[in-house]
Amino acid sequence: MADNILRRNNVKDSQNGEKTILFAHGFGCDQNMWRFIFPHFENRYRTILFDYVGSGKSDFETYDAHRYAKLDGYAEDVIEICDALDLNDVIFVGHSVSGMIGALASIRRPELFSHLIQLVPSPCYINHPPDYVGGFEREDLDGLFEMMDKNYIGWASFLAPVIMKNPDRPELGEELQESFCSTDPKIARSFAEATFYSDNRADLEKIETPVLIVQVTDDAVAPVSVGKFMNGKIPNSELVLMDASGHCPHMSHPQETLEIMNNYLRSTNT
Amino acid sequence: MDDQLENAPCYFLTANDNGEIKHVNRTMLDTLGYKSKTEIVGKHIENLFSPGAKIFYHTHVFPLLKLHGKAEEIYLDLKSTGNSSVPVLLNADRRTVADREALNTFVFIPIRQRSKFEDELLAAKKEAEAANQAKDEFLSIVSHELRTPLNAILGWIRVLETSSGDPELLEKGLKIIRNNAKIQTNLINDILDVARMISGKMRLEMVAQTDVSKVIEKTIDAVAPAANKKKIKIGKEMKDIPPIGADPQRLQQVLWNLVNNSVKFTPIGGKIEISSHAKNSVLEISVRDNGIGISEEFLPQVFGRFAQNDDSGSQRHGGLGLGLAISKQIVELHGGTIRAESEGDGKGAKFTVQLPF
Repeated sequence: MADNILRRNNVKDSQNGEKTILFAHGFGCDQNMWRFIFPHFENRYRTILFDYVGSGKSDFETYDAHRYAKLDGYAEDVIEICDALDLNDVIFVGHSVSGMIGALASIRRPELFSHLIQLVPSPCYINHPPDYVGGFEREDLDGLFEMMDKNYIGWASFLAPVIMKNPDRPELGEELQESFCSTDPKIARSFAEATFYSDNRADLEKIETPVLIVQVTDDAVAPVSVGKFMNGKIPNSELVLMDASGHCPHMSHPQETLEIMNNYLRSTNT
Repeated sequence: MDDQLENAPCYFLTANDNGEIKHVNRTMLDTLGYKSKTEIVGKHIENLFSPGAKIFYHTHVFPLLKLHGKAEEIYLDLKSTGNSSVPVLLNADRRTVADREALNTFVFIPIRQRSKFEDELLAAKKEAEAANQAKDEFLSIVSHELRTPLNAILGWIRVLETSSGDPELLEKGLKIIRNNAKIQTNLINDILDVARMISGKMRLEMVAQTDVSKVIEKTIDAVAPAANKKKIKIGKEMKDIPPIGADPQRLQQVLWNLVNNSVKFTPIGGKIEISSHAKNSVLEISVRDNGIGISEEFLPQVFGRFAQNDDSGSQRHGGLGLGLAISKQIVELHGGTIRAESEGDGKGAKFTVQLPF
């Protein structure tokens, strides 16, 4: 059972270290996105990386459309990974949507997590005037789905069938790996809907685990106002603003991201 | 930037990992409606994207550039200063020169025509997927509908085989077997008609002087037992109907489908009105009932092949939902038209056939 879960989510466990950091990737990518971050923690912590089902090298066969129609299904995966590895008091580091996925997992099983570090998280991407600015209108998201349809059509109609028919040509798989981190188009669409149509604002008050919210001063996907909103709602939370642009500070500004993470871990004696 | 790159027939732009634009060519400025480079240089690249493209850039394009050093053939939607959409294909790469910050180079090719073609392709793909799903659902309905009368036939054969020869039981059993065999024949005929429609092999056997009033009378006779069972009154109004060139069997099939549907979807004690009149070389036949009506959403699909209002409807009323599609085809082969009207759920329905003569 545990092996199945580790295979399902392509879990990579460094195995050494007293405290554990679990890194969770965001929508559109896979565990590779932590490449500039996790090696810096490997000699002090046990580091664990994984892919959500439908991303990276996870087992696509185990994808369950019903389970993953909502973020709770992904949170369930996180809990199952922790249980499969018999983890407790994990420091969960989640990028973007994974910030909320980790939060949902911690609400359900608080004993599994000691701290949550949320990089550019958002509990709700859609604006709800007058009080909440999520950054997007519903019709903006239609534009995203159209773009996904058009960009993934090549994957669906060309790459996937070619790879299926040529198991002896691994280089085709490499090509796939380099295109949108090998996410299946239908699953990507469903993950996008689960992410961008989610509204978890009411869950923020239920988070008992201490949270570090890292926002970027200029991020179109998760604006600063979202970070402030979350900081106001999550009982035990800190907000750090990074002077940067973009939505992937762990890739665009790995040094600053590392400093922020290290400062937080030091200040909390973890 | 040299003159050729400035005015190249593509958009050229460089930005650092922070997304800050360093260089942009004149073609891009002009197309997006900017007057000077100072309006763009130093700003974040996402300012040039539509909202959907912003998310796609941050979640897909930037990670590709950072992790793999390149992004190829990415469809994006740029936004002009006038807020109009400029669909483009993007190729980009990322280079690091010693002691300097990494620079991402973006080349955009405008794809207006190709984008339109791809829209059509995607729409066709979605339509094909929906049709395929409808066919799957249809197959499951067909197998259910064919099995129901077959079960009754087999069940009664077993009863009669083991009975002691009671004449009343024999008569009852044979009647049920006959009725169910008829139901199954009708279902198979409908399926064969659809197959003929799909292959374009449906043919009419035209009779020059077809008496339409007789066809209407025959139709009423055929549905009378079912209507009587539900105490539904069928009224008719026919004014000076001229003989027309038509296939009487097929025309009766159309009218039977319409009136039989009305009987199915009209509650006990309801009424159905059939009227017919000729004007300006067009013969019009309409069937109106005061039954459950047709919802606004379903009305446009009512003549579609494999169309059913919903699953529960088909289960409640039986049938394959092919009758109206077949009727439409028959009427069109006659050079006529058929239309459906309803003011909505619970407000009855009216079907009108117009045949030229």
